[in-house]
Amino acid sequence: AVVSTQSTGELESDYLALFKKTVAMHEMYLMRLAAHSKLREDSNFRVFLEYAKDLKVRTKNKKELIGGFFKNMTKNVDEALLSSQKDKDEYFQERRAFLVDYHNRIKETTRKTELLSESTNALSMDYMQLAGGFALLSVQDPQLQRFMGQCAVTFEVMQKLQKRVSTDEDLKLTDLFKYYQREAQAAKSLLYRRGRALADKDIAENKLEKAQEKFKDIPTAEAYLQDCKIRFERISEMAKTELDTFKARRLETYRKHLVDMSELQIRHSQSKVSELTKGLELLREL
Amino acid sequence: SSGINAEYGGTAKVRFGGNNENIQDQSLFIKRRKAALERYLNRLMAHHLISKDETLRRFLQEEDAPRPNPNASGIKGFMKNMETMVTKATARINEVDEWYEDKQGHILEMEETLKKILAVVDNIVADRRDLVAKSAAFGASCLHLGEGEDNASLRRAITKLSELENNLSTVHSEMADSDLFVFGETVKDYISIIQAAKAAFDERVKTFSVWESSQSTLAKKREAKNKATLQGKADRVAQCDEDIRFWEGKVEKCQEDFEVISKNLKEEIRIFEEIWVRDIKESAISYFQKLIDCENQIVGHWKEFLPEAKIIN
Repeated sequence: AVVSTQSTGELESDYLALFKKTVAMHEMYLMRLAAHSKLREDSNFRVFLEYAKDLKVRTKNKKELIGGFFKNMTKNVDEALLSSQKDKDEYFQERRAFLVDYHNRIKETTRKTELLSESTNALSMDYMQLAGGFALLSVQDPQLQRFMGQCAVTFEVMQKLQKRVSTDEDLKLTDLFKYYQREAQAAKSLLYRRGRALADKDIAENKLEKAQEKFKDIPTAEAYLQDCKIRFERISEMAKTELDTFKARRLETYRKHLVDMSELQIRHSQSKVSELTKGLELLREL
Repeated sequence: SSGINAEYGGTAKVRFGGNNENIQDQSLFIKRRKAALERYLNRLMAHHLISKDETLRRFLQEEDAPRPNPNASGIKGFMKNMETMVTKATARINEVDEWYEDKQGHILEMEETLKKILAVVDNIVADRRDLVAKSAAFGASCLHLGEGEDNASLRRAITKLSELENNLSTVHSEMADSDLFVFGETVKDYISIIQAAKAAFDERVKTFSVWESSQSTLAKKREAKNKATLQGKADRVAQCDEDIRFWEGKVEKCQEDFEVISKNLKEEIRIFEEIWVRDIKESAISYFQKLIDCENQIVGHWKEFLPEAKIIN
């Protein structure tokens, strides 16, 4: 029902808004990859950035789908097992607690922002219909022709401005929280992978003890333990760096988005005031 | 006591509001009803004839509050009367003056448009009230999010965002009220007034009907006299003469009535159109003013928040 009442112009502006949103999200993601000391070196990434022609797009193949499915399953199992894991490292213990809590909170906020955004958007359609009502009165009543004509014009502009309020709210607020919900989830996953590495290391230590007791397969067990230790230390080091940059990026991005959002909303509301004031002056004369 | 209560046995007590369970809906309903009744009384008093009505004046000066009379028919009875009034008007007038048909068509058109506009206003009000709820809910979640932040300036900013959204929620509520009270109610009032205008047109048609039927009765009486004369029934002829004189008088009176009602209708419609134009313009202007006021408040709130966002570090 909404689509059928939209003119070409409205559909165009809706498309542009969506396009803008998608581009912004992609830009944020690509900048993130490019800023990462390891990921920026990835050959696939470079090819993607430098490829001159159009890239072919395809959906996930069966292998990827199934792989993704299992990955989710194990992730959930890991999360359940490791959420109760005791970590001697206070820093990571605290960080994990923070991220789990933060992720829950931001998930809620993201949902509420989406609902708010929908609501803000609904109002723009209403303004359009009100403009239509004024136009009808203008046509039917010769004494109100110019007066109601002006009202209709003003509300057509109000509709455009309300649409801008809505798309900018979506772009700067909803997408901000959506993005950081996913980032928080990614940070959680990282800590779970570290937790997995820690658990593996503990298991390897047990295995070595058992091997030493039985005088069996000691070199294998020692080698395996060594691997686990190295892996654990490497992931711990990386995790610390990642968490620090996560915090820094979050500050910067929130700041930019919230400042942009404020400036845009001030501008839109001021435009509304100016349009309404202009209209009012004309109405008083008619 | 010798007041209205004694004379009319009280007033009709009517149950309104449907299934309004929650307090907010009830108080909103009372607010609307009170404002509507006030506007109604103002309109009555502004009318050059109605303002002189004895009963109305006594009602307005009455010391005692109206007592409910369980036997009074109230709204249901009134609506039933309106129905019968409208359905009985079926006669076709051969209009000398096309003004009546044109005006009636114009009024029906106006009714349709106003109903459309009212539906739109109702949508706006509903969507704005939704916005009130959604921004408050968002504000609450921001407060919660702020508490979970590990950076002090970010915590402060998100908490300030929560304050902002609560303030915006209040402005949206004000706007919803103005959508309704400043503009919507005027539209609603005029839809009601149009019903009265329609009834007035129908009343004129009925008057014409009565005139027509009295004319045909007169014709019948004249025929009866002819018959009686031919039959040589002197008594009956005398009776018929009496009847004819009576019905000639009646026809004259009916014509007079029709001309008076036609004249009054024209005048009332003229006044109606004048007042309509004045009222709707006033209403629209007030509406614009209220929106300007609210949007300025919104600017103010965002300007308050902006420095908080800038100092995130």
